[in-house]
Amino acid sequence: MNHLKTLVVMQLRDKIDLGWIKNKKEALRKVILSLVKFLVITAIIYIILSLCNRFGIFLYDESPRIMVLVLTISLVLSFISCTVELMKNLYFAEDNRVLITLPVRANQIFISKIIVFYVYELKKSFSLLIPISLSCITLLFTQGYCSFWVYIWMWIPVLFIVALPVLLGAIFSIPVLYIYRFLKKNAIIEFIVFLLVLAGLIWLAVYLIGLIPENIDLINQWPTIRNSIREFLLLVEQKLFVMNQLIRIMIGEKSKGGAFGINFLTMGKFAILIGVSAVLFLISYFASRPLFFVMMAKNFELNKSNKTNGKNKKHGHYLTFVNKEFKINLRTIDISINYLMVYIIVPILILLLNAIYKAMDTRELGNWLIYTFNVLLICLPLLASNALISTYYSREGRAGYMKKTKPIDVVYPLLAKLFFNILFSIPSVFATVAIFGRSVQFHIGDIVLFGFAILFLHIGHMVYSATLDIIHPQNEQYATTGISIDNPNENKSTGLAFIISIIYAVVAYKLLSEASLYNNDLTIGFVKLLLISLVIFGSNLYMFFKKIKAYYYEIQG
Amino acid sequence: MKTRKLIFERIIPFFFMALFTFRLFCYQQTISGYVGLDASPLAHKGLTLICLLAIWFNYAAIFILFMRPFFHFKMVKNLARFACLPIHILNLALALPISQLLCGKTGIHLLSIVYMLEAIIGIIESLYYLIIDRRMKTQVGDIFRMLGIFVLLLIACLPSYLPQFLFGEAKSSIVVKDISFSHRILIYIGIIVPFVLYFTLRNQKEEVIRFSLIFISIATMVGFLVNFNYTNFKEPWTWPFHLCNTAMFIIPICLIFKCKRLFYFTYFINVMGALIAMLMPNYPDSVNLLSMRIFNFWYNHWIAFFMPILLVALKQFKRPTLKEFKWSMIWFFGYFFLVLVLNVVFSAKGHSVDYFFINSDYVADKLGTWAENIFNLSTTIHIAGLELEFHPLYQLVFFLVYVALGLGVWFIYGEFFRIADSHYELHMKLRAIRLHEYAALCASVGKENKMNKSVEAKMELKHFSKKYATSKVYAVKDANLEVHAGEIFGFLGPNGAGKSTIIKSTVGIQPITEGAIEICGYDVATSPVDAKSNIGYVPDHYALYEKLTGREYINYIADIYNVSEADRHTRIEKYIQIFELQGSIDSKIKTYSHGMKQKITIMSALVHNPKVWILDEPLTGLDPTSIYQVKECMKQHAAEGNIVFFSSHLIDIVEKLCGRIAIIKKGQIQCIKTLEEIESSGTTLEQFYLDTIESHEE
Repeated sequence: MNHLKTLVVMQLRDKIDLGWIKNKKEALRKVILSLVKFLVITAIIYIILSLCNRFGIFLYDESPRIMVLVLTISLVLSFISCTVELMKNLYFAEDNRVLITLPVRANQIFISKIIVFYVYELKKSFSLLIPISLSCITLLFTQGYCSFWVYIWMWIPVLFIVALPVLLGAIFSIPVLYIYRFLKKNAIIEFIVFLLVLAGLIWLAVYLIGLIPENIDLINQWPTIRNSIREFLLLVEQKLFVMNQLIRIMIGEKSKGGAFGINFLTMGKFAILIGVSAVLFLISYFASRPLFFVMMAKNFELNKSNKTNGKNKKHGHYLTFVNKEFKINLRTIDISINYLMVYIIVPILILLLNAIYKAMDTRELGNWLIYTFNVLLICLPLLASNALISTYYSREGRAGYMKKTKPIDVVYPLLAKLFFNILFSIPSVFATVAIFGRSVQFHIGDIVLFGFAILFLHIGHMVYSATLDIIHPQNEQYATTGISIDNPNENKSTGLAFIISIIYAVVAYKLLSEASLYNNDLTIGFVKLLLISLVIFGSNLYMFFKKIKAYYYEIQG
Repeated sequence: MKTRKLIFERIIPFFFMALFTFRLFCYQQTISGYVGLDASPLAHKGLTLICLLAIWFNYAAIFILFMRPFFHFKMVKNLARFACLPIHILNLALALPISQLLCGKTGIHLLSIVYMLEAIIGIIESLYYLIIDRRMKTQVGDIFRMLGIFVLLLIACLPSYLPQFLFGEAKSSIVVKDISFSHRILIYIGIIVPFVLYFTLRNQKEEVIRFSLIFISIATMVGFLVNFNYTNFKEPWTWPFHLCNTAMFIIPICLIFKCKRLFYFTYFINVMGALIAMLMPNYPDSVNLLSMRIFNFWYNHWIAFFMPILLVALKQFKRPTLKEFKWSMIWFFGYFFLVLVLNVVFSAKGHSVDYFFINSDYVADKLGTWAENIFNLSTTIHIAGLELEFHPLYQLVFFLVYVALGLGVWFIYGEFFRIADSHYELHMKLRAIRLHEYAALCASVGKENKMNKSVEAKMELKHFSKKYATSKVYAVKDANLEVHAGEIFGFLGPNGAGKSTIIKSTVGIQPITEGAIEICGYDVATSPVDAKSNIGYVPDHYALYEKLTGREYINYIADIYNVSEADRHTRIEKYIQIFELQGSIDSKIKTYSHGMKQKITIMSALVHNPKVWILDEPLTGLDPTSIYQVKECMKQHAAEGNIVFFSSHLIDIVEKLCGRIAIIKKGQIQCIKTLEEIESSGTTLEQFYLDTIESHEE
């Protein structure tokens, strides 16, 4: 048992920062802070639910329907994340090689991994699931729709409910593993599946945006909207039977008086929950465990290939850096996907935003504010995605230092690293501004100007983020652990992205709202925005060259 | 000599200053009433124009002569010698029409007499400096530079009435408020000018920085004072006690007399006040862009806004600590109390006074009803027959808000100075790099020319020394070494002796502190690309792109060295066979074992067939077969007329492989010997190594 505890604690330390436990003062501070955070979230949700109730979205005794909806979303998301994460953690984790050498039974290693995931999920549930449940229970309690005991009782079934996605994830990780291995072995199929899923998601998003009515008048249409919401919540309660029963286990059954309370039926359902959990655990133990042992022993096998048909191919002196980055980007798709997703999401986000705005009846000030929010919502995710750039060079580990020994100006390999981000950002930025521009009926020239303004701003911030990583490298950390926790460069890049986006949006508001001075011609405003972006881009590029000259001269390798 | 200096550089300048001050206040100004040259009382527009320019230039010339005795750099000497004399002669000649423009009176009167006297003293002083600095060599370029600087100095001396007099009124549709375009331009100037000044002055000598800053602060202060005359002395309620007005006096006083405690009042309070005033100017909407009001307002607020920050940025005053902040707040409290008393007393006496806007609802009105409500809470005290009206809560909140803003800007300044410091540090680094590169280039000129670049492999260390930036001692001191084509050279020494330092400097990872390293005749510091093209380097720890396959990585390196497709194919396939990597060369490097990674590193170092192959502890982690293969590669590479230079702790391998060895200890090469020399002395390399290391320890 002690071994199991040690294994769990050891792995938890890797997953969650537990450094504060030994320091009593720090532990107290951490506990109080977490408690305050939890209470604040609960209070905010309670206020939101109360307001929803005031607006007639649901009656007090209907609040369990909200719980059913939230529980469903929460468990589905947990199930997806647990399945994927457990697949990686059980079968491909680097620490398997260390754990297998420890003087413990292999079963204990498997169980410890499941427990670690369970603890992590339990921690996550304090962010949303439990606060919402508590808020709903408070809403019921304050109106006399449930007894005080529910507050105490609810914690017991929660412990089992949270375990469900972990246990299901452990079972489902097996077929997912085989699909994953199949796709990894067949890169073309993997790529096609990826494209199909992506296209499907984009189509779904555009389709859903297309469903937004052409005329939104919240005040006049409110009774209809409210009834639709209530009908939807009722449908949720009726159709999601299992989830509804889980909520019933938490808050009890409705008595004749209309109040929820714990009774024998609740106990019976709880016993079934325990039984289901036990069965799931046994299935995962007997199904996943053998595969776990097999994979532990050969976690290298997946990556190794015995291909010998490679050819030696010459690339241009400078093109070789781009070629190298292309290959590395493709082979670290989990990292590349982050910026690719941003470039796909931003146009969809702007499409959604403008579909909503279009349906609203706005005056002149409203139009300026729409422009401003568009600028803000374009800039924020685009610039924030550059946080990834601030880790690019460090991710090279010690290989990064070797640039200096090569007979070439270091600027080329450094700039080549940004090539794909710049390349992918161009269509994304222009698609985004085109969507925005067409929906608010800008001239094509203005759209192009605005596109370049956003593009140069984005690249300017990208270069800044790159400079941060070059000047304050985290190569050693990446070289030894493969990751960098709380990377200061990422934090700085994100912070500046936030500040620049807000300032840029305010400046855009001011410059575009001055159009009335020029016969409502926005071109001058866009030209000024472009000039500002060019200054940001130019100054960052200039500093990039200056800083790398100084840095690469000085580094001692 | 001393007497002459006392007279011309102390007594006359002080008299000059006193006379100038007297002249400033001795008349009631009419010049500020003229709008456009047509309004001039003089007969000809041309004469008016020359007079106006003479007045403007006169300010600059006078300030230069005031400051000349205290500053001795070349530019100020040239300005005093060449720029001031013609200006004072012009002012003497035009004294009567200028006086007429200034005060509206014709003929000889007090102002015209004082003005002429001032011009005569100016001429005497200019002549004096012309004579005492007569031996100074002056090039034509110096004169042009001086004229350029003089034009820049003129900007600070611009009399506020000049634009409206010269150009009349600007378009009435131009509004200089509410962050309009014109308003923004004026705000931008206030932000851009300090940056220009900072970047221009930061590399100058301390004397130049002080001269420039004192000149700007005095010139703008005098520009502000032209709005006042002797009548103001009798009317204290017209004195300039507005917050930003005080900056015009505090800044030059603090700068000249180094009043540290008072300075931080302007640093923490004036800057904030000026910024708020710049964003919300208190002149009417109808005020004209070229009017005297606009120029007075903006010159005043620009100076109040950027000069305190600039003075700290240029290290005239230190970065404030809590102590300085405390003193700034004490001064602020004193100022606040003073203007509060002046406001209520003068208001009670029927004068319209609202220093710092704390006695009217000017600011409250802009903030909204809530602020108006606070302002309306007033109380009245009767003292000596005067009805003194206070707005206690409003005034208290006003004070506290400023204290909070002062505290807030402290952090903004901190961030600003952090950026400025890092930028300056970068600037200095780049300058040092340029100097270092230039010195290396100069040292190499004459010693070699392009023809000397040897086709033959050669590696040479010439008095090479290396000191790390954070260390005071040399990691390597005065190392001299020459390795020739066909040699396998062993580099021995204990840990930390300096082996890796020499190797890293040779391959270009580390900069060279002193001396030079040449590879095939190319200096590593001055011709790094040519030198590195001839080097193949195997580091002590492999450093590879693990997502690439072994073949992709080697091809990538081959691309960098521009190796032809045929050559690379031959070499890569040869080494794949030698190192037995047929089964794994197309797998990703991350799946390789340590030894396989080391083999890939060795292959990538040899793919361009370098003339100098440098290996830093290359055999660590390799299996016996691989060690044998690497040794064979080394022998073959040397046999082809190349150099193999490697460091190792494996003495028996060095003994079997090398023709010559060097032993380094504590950064100094102890000996360079051939293996034959060692063997002929009847000892083994191991014993010789131990003897060498131990004898030097003794």
